[in-house]
Amino acid sequence: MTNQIIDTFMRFPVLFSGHPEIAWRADRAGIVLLLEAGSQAVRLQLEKGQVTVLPAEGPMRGWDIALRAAPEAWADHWQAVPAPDAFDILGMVRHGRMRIEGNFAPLMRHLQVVKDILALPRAAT
Amino acid sequence: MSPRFDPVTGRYLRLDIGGRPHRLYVEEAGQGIPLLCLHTAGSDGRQYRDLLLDESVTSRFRVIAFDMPWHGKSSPPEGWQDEEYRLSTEAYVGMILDVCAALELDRPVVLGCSIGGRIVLQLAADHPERFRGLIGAQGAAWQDPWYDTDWLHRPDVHGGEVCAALISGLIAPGGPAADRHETLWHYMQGGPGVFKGDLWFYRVDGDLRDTIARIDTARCPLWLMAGEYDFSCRPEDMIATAEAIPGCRAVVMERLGHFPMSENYGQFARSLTPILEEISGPVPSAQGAGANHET
Repeated sequence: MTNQIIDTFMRFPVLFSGHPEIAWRADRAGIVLLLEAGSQAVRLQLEKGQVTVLPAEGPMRGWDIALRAAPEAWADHWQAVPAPDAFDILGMVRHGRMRIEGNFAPLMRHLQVVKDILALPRAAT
Repeated sequence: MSPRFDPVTGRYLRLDIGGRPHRLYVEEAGQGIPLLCLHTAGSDGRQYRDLLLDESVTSRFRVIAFDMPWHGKSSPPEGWQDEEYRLSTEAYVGMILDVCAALELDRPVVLGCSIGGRIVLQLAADHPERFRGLIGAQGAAWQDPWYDTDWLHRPDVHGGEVCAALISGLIAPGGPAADRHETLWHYMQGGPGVFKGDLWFYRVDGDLRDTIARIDTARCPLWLMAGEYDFSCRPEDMIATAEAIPGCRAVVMERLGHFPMSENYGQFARSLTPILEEISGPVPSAQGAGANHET
């Protein structure tokens, strides 16, 4: 399942391009997320209204904040109607299904945009 | 074509709260048993807009929703610019009693949500004779913090946006989109530091785990409710409180989150109506605006 989740992470730029209402709100946002599913991870960069997915590994490849969850938790987050323990990233932390670590300032500045981007695979199902 | 007004009256009430003059915005509809509604932290009385329009309720209850000082269309007290707003348990109870006295309410029912759902526990403990019934939605004596309230008021993060974004995940999926987003809009409109100031009661001053031992539900009936999608006041938090109070009734609501009356009133009414009927007695036919809402 981990590979499926990573494949879904890789689709974020395409999914994002189909939602101009989110891109409009994200126009001034700048943040790099580490998205971890089990033992694998990618970096998602949001900059100047563009979403790019980058490798997680490599020299000088930093990120602002990491969202770490089991592949099953990501899959549950993307259900058409997620269960109460998988609906919201902060709720998933509260339910013990996700860890969020790093610099919270950019996340809190752009929290709704980040939530909306991470939920895009849900809308695509 | 005549104007299409909602059958709701909005007025400003002059009263002293805690010995200071205040100008409070109050909306009301209906006649009968007074039903005083308390909004959540960081929001205002608009959360009860659909309850105010529900004829099955307003035919039996005088529904009253006021904006707390500093919230909505209620002004902060004179001198506000020189103080930090912090809601305390004592001030919150005093405000509710002052509003009841100013409106000359005779043993009202109080319906509160979140901070309002918790303060009804203090009312039940200390002032049961003043109320006909107490209903706490998303109400528990205590729940553990799940974020640092310092993020709600700081110069490098937009207060309105972060307040709404933090609570957005507490709204259950599947409710009417317009109502879910209006619930967020109210949070976007709060004054700087007001949501944080409300949470001083919720997080610091309002641990009511010892207080609830004084509650006697024989003196005033008490209901607690919780939406299954609320991860702030979780159903298990509410149930733990209800089980510690003999006679307290507990209702877990499906497909609802932390703002049941605002995010999806039609679904909320399914749980609220039986409680109100127990208080007022059953109604032969119940029809109202709320019944038209998507659930």
